[in-house]
Amino acid sequence: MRNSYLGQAWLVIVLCVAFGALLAGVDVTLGPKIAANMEADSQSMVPVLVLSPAEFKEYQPGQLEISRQNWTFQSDGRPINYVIYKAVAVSDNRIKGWVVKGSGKGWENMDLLVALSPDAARLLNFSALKQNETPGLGSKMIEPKWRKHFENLDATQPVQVVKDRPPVQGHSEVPALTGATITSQGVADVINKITSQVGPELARQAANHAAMEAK
Amino acid sequence: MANEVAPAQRFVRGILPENPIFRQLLGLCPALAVSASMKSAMTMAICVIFVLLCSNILTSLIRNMVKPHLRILLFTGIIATFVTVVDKVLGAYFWEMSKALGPYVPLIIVNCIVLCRCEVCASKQTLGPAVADALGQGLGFAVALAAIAGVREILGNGTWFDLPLLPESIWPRWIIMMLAPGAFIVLGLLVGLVNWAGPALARRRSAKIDIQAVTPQDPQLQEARS
Repeated sequence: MRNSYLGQAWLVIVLCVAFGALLAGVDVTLGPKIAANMEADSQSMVPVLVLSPAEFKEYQPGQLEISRQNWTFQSDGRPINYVIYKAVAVSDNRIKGWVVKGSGKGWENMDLLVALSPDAARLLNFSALKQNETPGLGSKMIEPKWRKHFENLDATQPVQVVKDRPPVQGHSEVPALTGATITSQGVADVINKITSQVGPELARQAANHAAMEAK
Repeated sequence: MANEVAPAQRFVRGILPENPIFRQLLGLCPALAVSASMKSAMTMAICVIFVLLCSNILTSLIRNMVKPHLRILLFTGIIATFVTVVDKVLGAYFWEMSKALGPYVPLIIVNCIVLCRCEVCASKQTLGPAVADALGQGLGFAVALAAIAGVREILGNGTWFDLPLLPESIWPRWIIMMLAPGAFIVLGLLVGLVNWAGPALARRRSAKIDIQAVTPQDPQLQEARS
């Protein structure tokens, strides 16, 4: 028994089982709290993305009612899950905007929050929940200077990243980040996926909301 | 020789004479990465002290059952478990700090200080010395981190623990202190300072003892003379 593998490794096995149980317990108790923290982060971004800078300066918590829904896009391949935040102004019960969480890939995986206008016809803004692009090059995607190019773009058309010429106004084009074409294209891909897959559903829900309000 | 060191002495030794960062030069990665602000540095220090304590205690308890060729495996498993617990607790109750420290809390698993204390001390000592050693080394780590973070935050940001200290008019922000090169410079200068001051103080102390020894009041010397 001494020379057998079990005789040598019994302590390792026992400890690993014990540690596994301990970590499982920790995950069960603390996992929900951590998920709630991450969700709170996403929700706190909704007013920032949906309101214009002037409106956001006046913003007080409670002026916007933010509701979250899980929605699945049924494609012919695998169904894709999206998280949609609806921001409704409490004062007049009108939709202020939509924020959709989508993920994609530049050089590394990225999670973006993309804000759309109340009728889901225009892009408002986007922010990165998680990105790991090249520091100094691709990481500049989070800077307001570049994000401004996406403001008010037509959400019914795919956004195109142009590299060697300035973007043409009114053509849904944005300039690529200097030295970060792949990152720029990754961002555009995420946004286009959201506008094409979730956009119609948002427009439908917005129409329903308007119809309910009209009654 | 190691067995004759009292627990209290182990504790004191870990703080400055055998300081893990300044004397042993272990755990330099978090010392550079999280020392841009005092809050992050002290949070990291508390996490490391907790992991050191728990892993030293557990290692000391199982020290007689560990097969020599499996010990690193076991130590790493123990350390990884406690670091994961700490990481989850930070994520649940101290979310902002968890985001600020980022990947450096999981990296405590490969922090050489923790593995070194398990291997050098806890696996060979009873519970008392192991606990004292963990606390002493952890405190030494905290002191070193506080020194580096203090310099970097005050010079680079004008704050200390986020309290404004140096207004911009007196001291314009020395931005490099907040970046990696500043960290290396501060660390290098402090390591040099501690390693020069330590032996210098010891030499002065032993010189004082020599002087005392040759004064006629020394009864032992008088006895030896006679």
